[in-house]
Amino acid sequence: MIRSARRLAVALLASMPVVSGQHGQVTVTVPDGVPLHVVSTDFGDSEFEARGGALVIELAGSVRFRHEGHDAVRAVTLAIRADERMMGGTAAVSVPSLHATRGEEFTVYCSLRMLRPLPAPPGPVVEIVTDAVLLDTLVAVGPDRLGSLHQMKVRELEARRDREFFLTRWRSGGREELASAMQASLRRQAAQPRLGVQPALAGAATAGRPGAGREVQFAFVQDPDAPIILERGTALVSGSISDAPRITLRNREPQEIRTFEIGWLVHDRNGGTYSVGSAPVSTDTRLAVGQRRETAAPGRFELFLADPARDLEIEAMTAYVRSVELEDESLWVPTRSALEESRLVEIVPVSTEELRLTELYRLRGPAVVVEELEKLSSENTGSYAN
Amino acid sequence: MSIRKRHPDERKLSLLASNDLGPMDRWRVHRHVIRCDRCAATVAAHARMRAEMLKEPPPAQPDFSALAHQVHVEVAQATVAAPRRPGWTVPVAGTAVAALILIVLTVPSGIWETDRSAPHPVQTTSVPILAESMDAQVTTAGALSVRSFHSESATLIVTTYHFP
Repeated sequence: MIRSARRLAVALLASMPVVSGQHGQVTVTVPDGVPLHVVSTDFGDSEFEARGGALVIELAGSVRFRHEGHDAVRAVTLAIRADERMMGGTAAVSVPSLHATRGEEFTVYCSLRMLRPLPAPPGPVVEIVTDAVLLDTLVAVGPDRLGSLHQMKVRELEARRDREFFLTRWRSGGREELASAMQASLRRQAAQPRLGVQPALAGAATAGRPGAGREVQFAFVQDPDAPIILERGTALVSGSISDAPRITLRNREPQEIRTFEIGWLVHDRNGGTYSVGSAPVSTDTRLAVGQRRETAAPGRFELFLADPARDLEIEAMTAYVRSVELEDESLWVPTRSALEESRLVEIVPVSTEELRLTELYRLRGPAVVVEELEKLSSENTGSYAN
Repeated sequence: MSIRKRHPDERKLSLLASNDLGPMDRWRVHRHVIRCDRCAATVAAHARMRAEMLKEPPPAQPDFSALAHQVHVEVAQATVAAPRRPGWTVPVAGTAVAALILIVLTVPSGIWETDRSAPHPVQTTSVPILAESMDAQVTTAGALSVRSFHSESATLIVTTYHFP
């Protein structure tokens, strides 16, 4: 009874609309220099429940922004904080492939679960800050405290690449060819083997004991056009658990590299190959001309298959260069043909834009996709180019 | 931590096999199944049956109307859309896994799982906060990133869970 009353009371508090600067359960702040204005927020569907020593927050709602800058907004990332010291206390919500011109309004929807310890100090339960905004000139604004900016730029570049691909199919073969490309993508997505992943914490009693686990050597898929060469890599593996890999790589561009992403695949003993995502890298990602370095970041991950009756036994690992940002702010991502030739396309999840377009196609049909492709491609200030 | 003595009902085992259980149920049932041969066999049987159904080939000549497209694609990938909230879908083709987080931290009723990886030489405790999605990907920062599609606004949302 007490718990229900408490839950209801907090939920009632949360249901009050909150706007920027107001004190409430959920606050939204736009830092100086970010050309967005909070028009309204609605987190009325959020639920807050005390469970043990923590407050479980089902954050569900939206923030409506008005764009007050000059260049169109392409992507927004909101930093969402309940408690930075706690697992589940910090998250980011990013929306790529936006197109908001000056004076236009757009809504960012949030639906996630978070935690914060109890008793909670006075003040808002959840703080939302506009962390980064990417404009269509690929200029970014915002504090970027969660380091989302590189990912936002990569998603935008991949989006331009993939829109160009689908638009070419539409212009050359009309509806039938576009439909064929969309269905091929959907079938590929359905056929891609999927892997669950979760961070694993070391057990105090046995973790790191001598002889635990084995070292697995990496194989590489090298892209001749990639600004980075992957030289060697290892990861400590035990069953379905892997430490973050250590990969040695070298800059082969005539300029410094600002940051990069290395794709990480695992192979199990049954012959399956799965995408884990990106190899974690320490915060210092710069690479001088010709410099060689090893990625080293803490982290241990447990991988699991969709079929809970099957255990995953990690047998081997593969890495590939996923993206590179150079000192002159140019970005490199693999071309579609490079992904197809290397057969990475069969394993690596499709880009966010391809996912969005195929979902649009699946739910609303090809006409809506064509409309979206034409709208966004005509607005691009620069086309995709490697 | 001991094996739960009560077996989950068959409906839940079936839902586990198709990855359609909610996060807490999934965690509980999976926890039982990995220690119970009988239930593991039932889940495996359901999974096999589901796999057989997924082998059905798509129609050869799709109708290009929007409705026929939708039907065709859904048959092709046997997608079961399971929106977490109205307007939300997690576009994981072939699965209906909602991008949810299973909270186990600080729940005092024995949710720490110390023997989950017992067969492995490196033992881990269970994760305090678990992003339970088959679409989660590790990021360069060591965070977990999950994608979902908001159909009303036609936007793709990327939610990233950072860990201290």
